[in-house]
Amino acid sequence: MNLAQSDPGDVVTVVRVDLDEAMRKRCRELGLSPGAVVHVTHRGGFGGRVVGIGADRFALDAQTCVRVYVSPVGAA
Amino acid sequence: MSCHDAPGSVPARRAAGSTSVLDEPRVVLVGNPNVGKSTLFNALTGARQRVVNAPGTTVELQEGRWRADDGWVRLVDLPGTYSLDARSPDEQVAADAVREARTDLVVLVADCAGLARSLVLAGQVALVGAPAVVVLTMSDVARARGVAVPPDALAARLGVPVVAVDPRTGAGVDVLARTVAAALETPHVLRLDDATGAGPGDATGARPGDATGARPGHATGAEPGDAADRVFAWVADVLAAVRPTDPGTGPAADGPVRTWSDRVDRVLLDPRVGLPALLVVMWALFQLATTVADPLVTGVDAFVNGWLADVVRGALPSSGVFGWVPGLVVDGILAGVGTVLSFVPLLALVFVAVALLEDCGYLARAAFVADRAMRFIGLDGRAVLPLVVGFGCNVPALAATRTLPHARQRLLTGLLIPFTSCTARLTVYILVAATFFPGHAGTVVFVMYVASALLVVLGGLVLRRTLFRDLPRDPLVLALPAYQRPALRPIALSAGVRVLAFVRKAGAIIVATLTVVWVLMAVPVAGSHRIAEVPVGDSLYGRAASAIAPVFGPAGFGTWEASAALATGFVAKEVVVGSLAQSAAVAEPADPSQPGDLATRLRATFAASSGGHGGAAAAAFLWFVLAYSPCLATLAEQRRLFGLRWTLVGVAAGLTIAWVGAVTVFQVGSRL
Repeated sequence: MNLAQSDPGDVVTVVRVDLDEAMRKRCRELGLSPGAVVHVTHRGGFGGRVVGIGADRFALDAQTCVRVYVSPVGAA
Repeated sequence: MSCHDAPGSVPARRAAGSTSVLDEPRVVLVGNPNVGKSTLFNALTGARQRVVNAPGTTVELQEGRWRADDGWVRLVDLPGTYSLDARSPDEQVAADAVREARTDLVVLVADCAGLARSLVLAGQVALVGAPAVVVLTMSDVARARGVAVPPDALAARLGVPVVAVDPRTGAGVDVLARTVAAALETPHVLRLDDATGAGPGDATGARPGDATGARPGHATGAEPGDAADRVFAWVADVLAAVRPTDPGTGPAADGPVRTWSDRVDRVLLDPRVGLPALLVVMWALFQLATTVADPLVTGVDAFVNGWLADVVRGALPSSGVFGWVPGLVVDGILAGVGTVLSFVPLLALVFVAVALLEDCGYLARAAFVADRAMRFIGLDGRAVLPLVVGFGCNVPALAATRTLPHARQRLLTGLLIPFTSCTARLTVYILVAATFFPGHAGTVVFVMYVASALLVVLGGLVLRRTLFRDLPRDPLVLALPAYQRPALRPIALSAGVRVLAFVRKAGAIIVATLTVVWVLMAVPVAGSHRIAEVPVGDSLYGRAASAIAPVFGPAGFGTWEASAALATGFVAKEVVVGSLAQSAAVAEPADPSQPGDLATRLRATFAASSGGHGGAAAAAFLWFVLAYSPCLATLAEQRRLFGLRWTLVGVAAGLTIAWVGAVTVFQVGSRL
C-alpha cells in the first residue's frame, strides 16, 4: 500500500520511497526513509497527508503520498 | 590546538581591537528552517544589522555585529536549510558559507523538537570540518512533545560546546556569548566518530583556505553516498545516546504524542475548514494592505507633501532667476521623498503581518493548503500571500516574497506580482468605465480583476515553460513547525531593517526619477513660458509624449494626452487621472466615478483618435493600464530584490503584453 491509502491514526512503516535520487536523499535527511515509523496525523485537501515522524510533522501532497510505499504497523 | 600566535588569526584579530568590521571574526548561523535562527540573530545583534545580498546572487542575508563576551564578531544569518547538499540557490548560499575558509565559526542552531533533522545538518558540518558551536532551541516545544535533550550529554557526544538558548526571552544568550568567544579562541569541530573510525574534523583550529576559498581537504559539492550513510548512522548513534526514549528513533508502534499543534491542525488542515480559513487570512492581509494602511499612507503624504512642502516652499526664493527652485525642491525632490516615505507604514505593516504568520507556524500550513492551486501555475503554495497582497499594493507584495524559500520561486512570483491589479489602478478603471461604459461600469471593473487573475495564471504557465524551465517541480515534503507565540521584538526589528533597506536602495531611484520627470515637465520647448510654468503640451515631457503617441495609434488612443498619462502612470498609477485632467485642462474630479467635464473631453479625444470607436479605444486603454509596469516604486523594489536585468525583462514583457493586448482589444472591438 502507499501513503495515499492510509488514514489519519494509522501507524505505518516506510517500505520504499519512489522518488528521484536527490529527492529521496532529502526525504532521508528529513527522516522519511525505509524503516521509518510514520504516524498519519491528518488528511489534507486534494488527498495530501500530514505525517508524524517522531516529534516532527511533515505535509506531503497527494502525488508524493502515492510514491511512498508503506506497510501497516497497527492502528493507533 | 589553537592559533594564538598566528598573525591574522581569530584571537589576534580580537585582541588587537579591530578597526574594521571586516577584520572581526565571521560567525555564521546555520540551521533548519523554523528553528528560531533568525529570532536568535535579532536577539544577538539588535539594531546593529543590515540586509545584504549574498555575492552574485539575489539571496538576501542579514548581517550584523554582536558583542560576544569581550569582543565584536560579524554575525551572518544564513538561509534555513535541511542539508549542505543544496536544492535551491538559498540553500547553496548557506552551504557555501559553511565551507568557506573565511568563516571562523559555525553556530549550528538545532531544534530540540526536531533534533534528528538538525543532527543530519550537524553531521554534514562535521564532514566539512568547520569549527562549530551548537545552540539548542525550542526546549519548551520539545518538552511538550515528550522529548528532552540534555545539552551536556549532547556536547560530550558531539565534541563541541552545546548551549541551550531561548531566543524569544534571551535566556542563555550570555552563556552563548562566552561560549562563542571561547570557541573563537580555541575552536572545536564536530566529532563524527563512529564504528568506522574518527571523522575528518579531528584537527581543531581554524585553517587557511585553498585558492577556491573552500576549506582544504573537504568536498565542496554533495557528499558521496558512503559519507551520507556515515552521517545517518552517526545521527542514529547520537540520538540513541542522548535520547534513548525518543519516539522518533525507536519502533514507536505505541502511537504518536498528540500535541496542541496537532489539535489545531485537525481544524486548520481539514479540507472543509482549511481553505476558508486561508481565505479569511488572505482577506485580512488584503485589508491590512489597503483599508488599515490607507490612513497611515495618507497621513505621511499629507505631512511631507503638505506641511513640510509649505515650510520648504516658504523658505526658498519664489521669484527672480531662481523662481523655479521651490518647484524643483518641493514638486520634484520632496515629492519623491514623500512617495518613498508613504510606503514605509504600508511595508512595515505587511512585513510584520507576514512575519507573524511565519513565526507562529501558520505560513507552512497555508503553503500546504494552497499548494495544489499554486502548483498549477508552477508556484510554491506560499506564493499565494504575496499575490493577494499585490491586489492591494505591488510594493509590499514584492517584499512579502521573502517568505518563499527558493530564490527562483521568489523571482518568478516577483515577475507575476505586477500583473495583480493594485488599488491605484482602480481609480483609472473607475474613471474610464464611468466615462465610456456608464451603464456597465461595475461590470467593466470586475472584468479588469478577472483579466488580472488570468494574466497571473497565464504568465505563470508561460514563464514555467520558458525562462523557468529549470525550476524543479519538487514533490511537496514540507516540515510543519509547531505553533507558537510569535516573538514580537525580533519581528519588529527585522521589519525595521527591511523597511530601511527599501528606503535606502529603492528610495534613491524613486527620488532621482521623480526629479528627472519634474525637470522634463518644467522645461519649455514651445511657446514663451518660464521654466516650471509650462503647460504639459509645451514641455519637454509633452513633446516626448507626442513623439511616442503614434505607437498607440493601432490601439486607438494615439494621442499625446493618453501617452502623457501612461508615461505618468509609469511613475505612479495614482496620478494617471490627474494627468488626464491636466492635459485636458480641466479640474481633476474628486470622485473618478463622477468625471464631469473630464468625461466629455476624454470621449471627444478618444473618439477622434479611434475613428469614432471611443469605447473600443477605452477598453484597449484599460488593458494597457492593467498590464504595463505598475509604478516606479515597484520597479525600484524589483531592482533591489532581483537586479536590473530581471527588472528590465519584466518591464519589457509587461509593455509587450500591454501593447499587443491593447491593439487586439481595439482591433477586435472596433469591428464588432
